[in-house]
Amino acid sequence: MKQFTLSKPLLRGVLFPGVALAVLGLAPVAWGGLQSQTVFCQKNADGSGLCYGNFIGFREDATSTSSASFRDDLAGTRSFDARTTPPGGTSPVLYTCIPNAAVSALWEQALSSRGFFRVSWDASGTCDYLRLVNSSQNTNF
Amino acid sequence: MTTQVLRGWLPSLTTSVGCAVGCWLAVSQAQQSQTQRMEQLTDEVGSLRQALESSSRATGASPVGTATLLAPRESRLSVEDQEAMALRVATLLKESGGPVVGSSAPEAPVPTAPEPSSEQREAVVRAGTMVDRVVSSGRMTAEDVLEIRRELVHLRGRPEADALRKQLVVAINQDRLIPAPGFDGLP
Repeated sequence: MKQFTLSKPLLRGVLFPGVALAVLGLAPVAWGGLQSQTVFCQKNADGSGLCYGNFIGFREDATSTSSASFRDDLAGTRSFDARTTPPGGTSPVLYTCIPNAAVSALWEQALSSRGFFRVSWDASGTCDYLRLVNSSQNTNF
Repeated sequence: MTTQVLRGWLPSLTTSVGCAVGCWLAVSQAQQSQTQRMEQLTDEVGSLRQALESSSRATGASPVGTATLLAPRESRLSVEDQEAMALRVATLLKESGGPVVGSSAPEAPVPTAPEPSSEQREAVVRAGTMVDRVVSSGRMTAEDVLEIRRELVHLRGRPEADALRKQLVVAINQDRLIPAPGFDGLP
């Protein structure tokens, strides 16, 4: 009966490349570039709150009901809404707001945004802050 | 025999496993760093807001916002982040009536909407009744949205339409109104 033993050449030629590749993973990513998928929404008892993230984050969220939308129509009705399930929660929660004049000035860009966004609103449901970031890690909107 | 088989299969097997582990580690690392950065940014904005609220309380002004405040933490931010936060602080100061350096030109008076026509007044009553009904029931179906939207079309650009929509938005954000699955935006 033949006994199995790992010879030194086998160790060098076989195991070393595998271990080296695994270690490479610990080094900063250089070939793929940073990509992010972010989803976050929260609201307070008075209804004020915020959402931030990117569309790919909402679309590929572990919860299949998650979504985020910037809307506009012919009547000029602009609104933001997002749906996420809070950590530990069992049902999705809806968040929505209507932009004030300052935020509305950015709405056209929000409608065609492919990157990171952050929206916050006050207790009256008015979106009072909007931040849009166009960056390489959000390209797969 | 066994060693020969191993010499043939083991290199590709260990290389594949190595690649898989490497890729997984790289993706995990990238996601973790992004999440940490987001948390830092949230903390910074929270601490700025907290500082602003403390300042407002000291001067007797009304507090701005009610978002959850997080403990301040030291962090390095990019120029872009700092600019965004500076803009945010300026906006908050302006809203709270605090001092804002910059343009001191008086704001133009807000134009008042013309008196609604009789048709618009009727639309306001009908839409208001529908909004009250869905808010009191706590449920809003897609059909409800369409019905209210049909009435609000007559009130395009009017403050009454905005007020009715805001009524729905506040009820939704306070979890008093739950739109049916497949919610396709406000009326």
